[in-house]
This record gives sequence, structure tokens and C-alpha cells, in this order.
Amino acid sequence: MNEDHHRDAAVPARSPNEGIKQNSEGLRGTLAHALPDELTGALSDDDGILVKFHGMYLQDDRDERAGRMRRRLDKAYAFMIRLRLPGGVCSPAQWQTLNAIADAYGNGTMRLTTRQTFQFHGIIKHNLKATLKTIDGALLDTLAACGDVNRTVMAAPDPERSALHKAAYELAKRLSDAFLPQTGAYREIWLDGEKIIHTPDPLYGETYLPRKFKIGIAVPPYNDVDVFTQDLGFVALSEAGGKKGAALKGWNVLVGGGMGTTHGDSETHPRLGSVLGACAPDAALAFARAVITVQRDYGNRTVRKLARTKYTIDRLGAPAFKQLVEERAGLALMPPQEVAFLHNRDRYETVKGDDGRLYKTLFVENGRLTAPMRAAMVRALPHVEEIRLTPNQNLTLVCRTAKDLALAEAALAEDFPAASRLRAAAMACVALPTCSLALAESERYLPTLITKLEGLLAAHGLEDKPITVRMTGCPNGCARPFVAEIGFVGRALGRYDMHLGGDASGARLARLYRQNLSEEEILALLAPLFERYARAGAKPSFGDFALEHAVF
Amino acid sequence: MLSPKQLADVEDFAATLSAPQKLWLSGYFAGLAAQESQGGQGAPAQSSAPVTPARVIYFTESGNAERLAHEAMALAKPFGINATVEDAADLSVDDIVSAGNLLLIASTFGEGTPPSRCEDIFASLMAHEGSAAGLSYAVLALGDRAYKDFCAVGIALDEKLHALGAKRLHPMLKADVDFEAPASHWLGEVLPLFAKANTPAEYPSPTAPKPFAAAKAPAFASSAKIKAKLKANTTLSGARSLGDVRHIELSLSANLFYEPGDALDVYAHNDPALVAELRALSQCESAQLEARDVQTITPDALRLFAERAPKFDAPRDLGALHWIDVLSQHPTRLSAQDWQNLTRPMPPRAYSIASARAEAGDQEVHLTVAPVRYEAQGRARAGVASCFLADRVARGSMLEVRLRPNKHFRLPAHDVPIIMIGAGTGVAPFRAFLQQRLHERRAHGATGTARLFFGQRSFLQDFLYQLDWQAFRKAGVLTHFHGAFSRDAPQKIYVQHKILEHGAAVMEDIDKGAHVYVCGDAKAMAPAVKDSFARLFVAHKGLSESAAVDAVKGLERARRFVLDVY
Repeated sequence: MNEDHHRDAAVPARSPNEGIKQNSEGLRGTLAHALPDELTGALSDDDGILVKFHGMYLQDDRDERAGRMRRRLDKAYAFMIRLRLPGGVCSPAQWQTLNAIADAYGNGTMRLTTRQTFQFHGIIKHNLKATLKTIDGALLDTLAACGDVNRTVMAAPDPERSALHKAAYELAKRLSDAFLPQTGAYREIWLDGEKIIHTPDPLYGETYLPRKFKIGIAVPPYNDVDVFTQDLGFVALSEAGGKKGAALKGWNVLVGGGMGTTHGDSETHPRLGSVLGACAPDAALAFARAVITVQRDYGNRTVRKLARTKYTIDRLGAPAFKQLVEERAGLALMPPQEVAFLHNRDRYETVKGDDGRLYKTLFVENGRLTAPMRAAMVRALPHVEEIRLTPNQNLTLVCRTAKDLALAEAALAEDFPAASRLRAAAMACVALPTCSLALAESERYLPTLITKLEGLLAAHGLEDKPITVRMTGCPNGCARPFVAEIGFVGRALGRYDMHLGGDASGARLARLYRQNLSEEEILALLAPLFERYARAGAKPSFGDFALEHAVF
Repeated sequence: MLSPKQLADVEDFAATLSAPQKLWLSGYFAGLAAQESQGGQGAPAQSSAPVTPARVIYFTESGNAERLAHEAMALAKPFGINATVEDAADLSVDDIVSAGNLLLIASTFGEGTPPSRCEDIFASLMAHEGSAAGLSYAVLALGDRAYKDFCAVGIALDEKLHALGAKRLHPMLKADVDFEAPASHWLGEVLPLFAKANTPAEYPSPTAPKPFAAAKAPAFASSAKIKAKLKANTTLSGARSLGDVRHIELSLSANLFYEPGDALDVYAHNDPALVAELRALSQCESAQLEARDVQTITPDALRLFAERAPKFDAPRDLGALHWIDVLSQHPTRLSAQDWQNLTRPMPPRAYSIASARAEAGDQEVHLTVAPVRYEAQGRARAGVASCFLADRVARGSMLEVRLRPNKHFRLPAHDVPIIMIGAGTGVAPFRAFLQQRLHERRAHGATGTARLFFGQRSFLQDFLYQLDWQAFRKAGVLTHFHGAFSRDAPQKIYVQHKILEHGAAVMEDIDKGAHVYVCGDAKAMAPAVKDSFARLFVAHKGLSESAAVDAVKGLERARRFVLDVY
């Protein structure tokens, strides 16, 4: 048997997505035919699955659902478009172009995601091509930003250790480019490119991966990319313990992290990546390819919710998985290096990098850039050299001089107000009204809840404690709530499961504390915990305290 | 004046007459009296042989002038007039000015413009420099006093023919939207004159039947008002739309044999709050204003008002003023009779019917209504009929409607391709068309291709009847749909752009004999659509620009390119 295309003869029927991928002719499906249909803003179910590989989700405005049929209107279908932006780095010129898309075709906002990229919402089908052409004009794309492939690769935007950031960013870019689906479909469908004869993808074959695949690259001592939640994680190893100016020595390799679960399905669970070993700087690509092909060949293709790498490594066992990876890479993994992470938050103070440039991170609540914020950014752009999107849905401006930074900050001050430490460390996924998976509000609700939590904390003099609060509208876990100190996972409108006890560095899973809570219940449960935490001297981190003292 | 027997006969006879018939007879007797006073013969001869030729030529937009023309032809017969009815759009200038008896019935459309199909012949006639001596004519002008250039087309035609040396048999009638009664009366006066004029000597004297024999002739109200119950009033616009378009369903108290393309006249009542305000401002609680047009102010009415309000200084431009504006500036005591004199009856407002009997049944009619709301003179204005339907008629309550046939806007045979172009509520008749095609498809198994161009602001919020179109496509009766949504992208896209974009396919349809229907905005859309078709003839048929314009006109003359615009 060809090892690269191993199939277990005993497996039951494949999940329907497998057939859709296989018959898609390299992700084409009937998209080219469906786009000019102006009677509907939707796509067929099959095309709806394929279009994800092109970086977009067909969604509908759930706020509007009720009543549209009575109005003789179809659902308010529109697309979410996500960019592939390895490492979250973009130029001011690219920002300008993307900013214009929000007005021209989007809903007037830009969303910074938890994976360091941009999302546009509310783009109707008839504007998809124009949008993608505009993105192409900025030398950017959306290919593989979603779908059962390697998604956009995260890399710590670490400003201080410029050499390590450079290595992480370059690796992110290499991996992202190397694992792009080799299909002419993207250019053909969206950019009026020439029709290319379809051949099976050399890496992914006809059925791509069993599920999404996420890679993140961390630069210690910060774990802002939440490297333990990635299907494949790399941790930069440096000489001199990661001091400024240190050069890259190699990478720790982690496999099998993942957040997504399904309510009521005990087979599903969040998982932290297992450290398989370490590799030399230039071996990362070979190991990444090996991990992807193992997951391609051994991942579960019958039950999609058990198809992520974390279940594959659970099933095979880490040693067997590691052995397969080493065989395929033709290289042995070295013993991993011990790494200590401080936390997984963003730092808002101005930082001078060892490249001499100035780095300033701006808080963007839940990553949502409103029209006034976008306008302010446009005013600041002339003074900015580079923009980095952080894994916490924020923005880092890179300026050449202090004067530039002062000018940029002056342009931004009014529309980017400072936030409490609690708010500035919080994250929420999009959820309602656009995400079809959402069971509860998230982005639209978390700010309100944070305000109430701020009140509780202030009552106990805890307002300066950085506690990571994360919320998602469903158990899929886009905002990584299962590694938060306080994680909220939506169950139904106004009802959340509360998880407690993640550590501040994202290296520990939170535990389910209580299920199906209303806001009132959330506050009633947290108030005494905060009180006890304060009495204990607010030490160590709240996550550690909660894990020890809360009764689960 | 009359003998007791005559009086009794008249009273008996009068009891059998409808109101329009009485009006017609009043004109008829007036005409007879005029003949006598001019030394003509006394009572008309009793011969029934029609001998006087006459031509009735109409300029029509919505079909009123055409309908009147046919009524006039029927009315003329008893006078011994053998009338033919012709559409001006089909004629040349020579056809019109050549000698004979000519009754012109001409509609003015919107702001003083001729009906769209008649633009060319009207322009040619106005530019004509020959002679029309030998022509005897009378003009019946139709118009709407709510517009500035009331009856402008009729007036221009009347003056032009006079200037060309034709003989004006009778002063022109300028009829407002409630034209039936005055037109009936006027024709009663005019037709006997035709019978007399230009009658060759060798012909017998003009003849007319006994007055009483004419009793069965006139009935302009070709369809009567009927009662309707508002069955449904649902919003079609999305929750975030900038607009507000309603789907109105009416249950009729009687069968109404409407055809796809027809319109329905709705008799609206004024907003009671507005009526109360007018009554208060005029200190006239008894004013009957519910069904009066309290918007339109004519110069005559203004003079009358000035008599009641001595300090009133008439504004120069009446254009946008309604009575409420005048009265709130100059509260003035008026009598109920003054109000009667100042205002005309509320004209009905016509809405293209958005249903087909084949689907909705003979006692149900659907309308697509965009409530008109705006601000003027510092007041919130509401379209009388549109807001009557949208806001004031409760579900289950009654209103009055009447069929307004639109003979020019008819589906071709079931297997002929159609191209439908509608912006906004202009898409209404196409829902009726496709419902009809649904029915025809069931009967015939197949229907010709149907291509719909629909223009609106936002795809998500303003896609009127989106689910209906989807169902029509699924059923196979809508084969091509092209949406022009102007606010969805930085470049504003309108239907004409979509027509050009799909030019090759459109011209293929035309080659296969397609009929083209345009419905909606008259000012911007209709000319742009016409122009886009001319451009298609240039691009796809290699015609010169002028030949392309002629080609579109050719389609219009062949009734394969028809408009229902407003």
C-alpha cells in the first residue's frame, strides 16, 4: 500500500464532505456557474462547502431571518471573506486597499480575527469577484483561509526580538505558501484567470485534509499565538534564553492542539498540543509537511467532528504519531527544550525593537474596526511603516521614529480609547448575527459583561489584575475560551457555560465550572470568587487561584 | 315649454338613463339646438344609413384616449357618421392633415409630454409646414390638473391644426382626470357638427336617430367602480431597507376580468387628520373633503379663493403648493360650496396589477405600492392613494376600485419570448405576466423564454418579490434574471447597464420575435432603456445610430416594445 495514501479498509461511509471535495475538480464545483445567478445570494450546499477553501463563508444575517419570508425575500445571504495573511503582517498600502473594501462592498467594518487576519462581513455574492480582484490588486489573497486545508499561519508579532520575529514570520510565510492548494480554481473563478487543466493536488490529493489545520509559531516568553491550541505549533528556541538580539537556534514542535468541541458529545474535547520534540531552524518545513501528510492519511474522514489532528494523535498515540512524522520527514526530532511563557496577552506599552523601530499596540475591542476607527487609521497611515495584527485581535503599528509614532498616536487617540486591563485582555468571536454556528451572542455581548465584571473587580480592588476573559458563541472555540482564565461558551441565547482555571500563559486547559448560566448567575458565581481572590492577596493568577479554590 | 305628454315621456325616459347617458344627451340636445340656430335643419333626418366619413385619431398613454376614441366611434354612428379609429403612433403627418373630418383625442402625459409612443408623430406634426385646409377638426384633450402643463399636448395640436388652416369645428375640451362626464357631454355637442360639416352636397343630409333611440349608446364608464376589501398589506422591503414597498391584496365584491398588464384605479380618501385640519382652517365643519382633491390648485380656484381672502397674495409658483399650505398661511372662512368649487373630485390613482386571474382568481387583485412620503413646505407629505392603501385602510375594510385596462401592455402568444424591464414597483405587472405564463405552461407544456431586468437599490433589502421570481424560475417560466442594484457597489448599476451587459442575449431574443415591456420610472429609466436598445442595434446589428433609433421605433410601432411608465 502506498503509505502516502493509506486508507483503512474497515472505515464506514465517508462523511459527505469527502465526496464533495473529491468531485470538485480542484475546488471548482459549480461556482463559476453559480456566481452569475442574480436571483439568489446563496450557493448550493456543495458550493457552500467548497467556497470555504477560497476563504469565504456563506452566511445570512440572523437578525433579519424572522419575517423575510413574509416579505417574500430570501434569507439575507452574504459572505464573510477572510484573508490569508501569514504572521498578520501587512503594509500601509495594503491596509488602504482593504479599508476601501469595507466601504465599497462590506458592511462598513473590518474584523481583526483571533488568527491575525482580516475578515469582511456582509459581502453579497455579486460583489465577491470585485472584492477578490481588489484584494488581488494588493498582492493578497484569501485562498485556504478557511476549509480543510492548512489555514493562515500565525506568528507571534513580537516586537522586541526582531530577529526572532523575522524568523517566525518568514517561517509562517513559507509554510503558508508551501501548503497552499495547487489549484487554478481561485484565479479562474475570481480573477478571470485562464482555465487550467485540473490535476490532483500534489500535497492534498483530491480530498484535501479531513478537517481544518492550524499552525502557529510562538516566540517566548510570550504565548500570544496560543501555541498549545494549534494543530501544529512551533516555539522559537534561541540562544541566551530569548534575550533581545538573540538568534534562532531551532523550534520546539507541538502537535494536536485544538479547541473545538460539540455540546453534549463527550467524544469531543479541547486539547493542548503535545510537544513531540525539537528541530533545527531549517527543518521546520519538512516536519510541517510530514505532520500534514500524517493527518491527511490518518485523520478521521467519516466523522467530521472527530477529524482534527488532536483526535488523530489521541488515536495513534503520540509516540506512533511522532514515528510516522519522523519517517516521512526523513529526519529525527531532537529532545524539546524547556520553555517558559509569561502570558498570552498583548502588551500595550510602546516597545523599541532590536531593529530600532517603535512598536505600539492598539486595543481594538473584539477586533471590530468601526468606520470611525478605520478613518482614524487612514489618517495615521502616513506615519506608519508596517502593521501587524496580533493574535488577540489587536493592531501593532510599526513606526520608524518617535516623531512618526507621536503623529500616528495623535491621529488615533480619539477613536482608539484606552481600556481596562480586563477589557484589553479579553476576546470574543463574531457569533451573532452572521456566524451560522452561533448559539449565543459573543462579540455584541462581551463588552457589556466586561463592564459588569469591571465593577465586580473594582469592588474588591482587583481592577488592575490582568485576567483573560474569552467568550465564544458556540463550543467551536474560535476565541480559544478553553485556555482562558475565565472562558464563556455559548449554549443558547443568554446562556453560557463558564470555564475556569486556564493559566495566564495559555498552557493549561480551563475546566468546566458551571453550565448554562444566565448573566445574573455568572455574576453571582464570580462575585464571591473575586472576593476570596482579593482576600488571598490576588495571588497567584486568577486562573491558578480558581483552579485551586473553586468547587468544580 | 313641454307639453304634459312630452314632459311625461321625458321623465319616463330619464328614469331609464344612467348618469353618463344623461350627460351625453344634454350635449346631444345642445348640439341640435346649435344646428338649428345656425340655420341648419330642424330635427335630424330619420335615415339610419351612415354616410359621413370621419376619423377618430388618438394619442394615448394609458389607454384612456383610445377607449374614448372607440366610444366616440360608437356614439357617432347614430348621427350617420361612419368613423374609423386610428392610433396616431401608426400614422404619418400626411395621414393626419389630409382632408376630412377629424376628431383628435389626445392625452398629455406627466409634465406636458405626449404619450411615449406618439413622441415622433407629435414632433413631426408640430414641425409640419404644409397646409391642412380642407380638414375639419375638434380636439378632446385629456390631462391632469395636478401637473403644470395641463392638456399641453391637446392644446398644441388644436393650435397647430388651426395654424395650418384647418377648420376648428368646436372649441377644444380640456378634460381633467374625471373626464368621463365632460367628454360625454362634449361629444354630444361635437358629433352633430361633424355630421353637418364638410358634407358633400350629393350626400343626404346629416342624419341622427331620434333622441330617444340613442339611449343605449353612451357608457364611458367601461368598467364600473366596485367594492374591494383589503385582504393583506405586507411589507416587501427588508427590515433595513431605505424604502417601503407594500404588497396589497384586495378581495373584490364581484368578478373582475382583468388581464395581465391592466391597472387598477384606486379611489382613495384623504387622511382624516388632513381633512380635519382643512376644516378647522376654513372654519367649515361641513366641508365634504374626504374624496376631493385637496392638493391641486388651479388658477381658477386660486381666483375664487382670493375673493374669500382679500388679503391673500397669490404666490407666483403654485407648483408644489397644496390647499393645506395656502390655508395654513391664510386661514380663511369658506363654505362647503366654496370647497366644492375650489376642488375637483379625487382622481383615482392607477396601480399596475401584480397578479393574474389564472393564479389569484377573478375576485382577487394584488398591487405593489410604494407609500410616497416626503417633506415639503415644512410639512410631512403623504401620497394620497399610496398612504391610503399602506396606512389607512385596515385589513378587512372596504375601498372602491375600478379596472383600468391597458390594452397596449399585453402578453403575446404563450410561445413568444418576452423581455421585461422594471424598476422598483414597475416590476408589478411582470409578476402578473409570469403568473399568466405559469398558467399557460400548464396548458401548453411550454412557454417562450422570459427575461426579467429588475432595478432597485439594494439586493438584500429591496429585492421585491424575490421568492416569487425564484419560484417562477423553478417552474420554468422565468428563464433569465438580471438584477441591477444601484446601491450595492460604488459604481451605480441600473437596468440599462444590465441590458447592455447582456446585449447579445437580448438581441437573440429580439431576433426570435421577443416582445419588450418597460415599466416604472418615466423620467430617467424609460429613455435610458430605449437608448440602450438603440445601442444594442448599433453594437450587434451594425446599424448606424439613426438607423438603430429607427429600429427601436420600428419595434414600438410593431407593438413589440411597449411602455407603462409613470
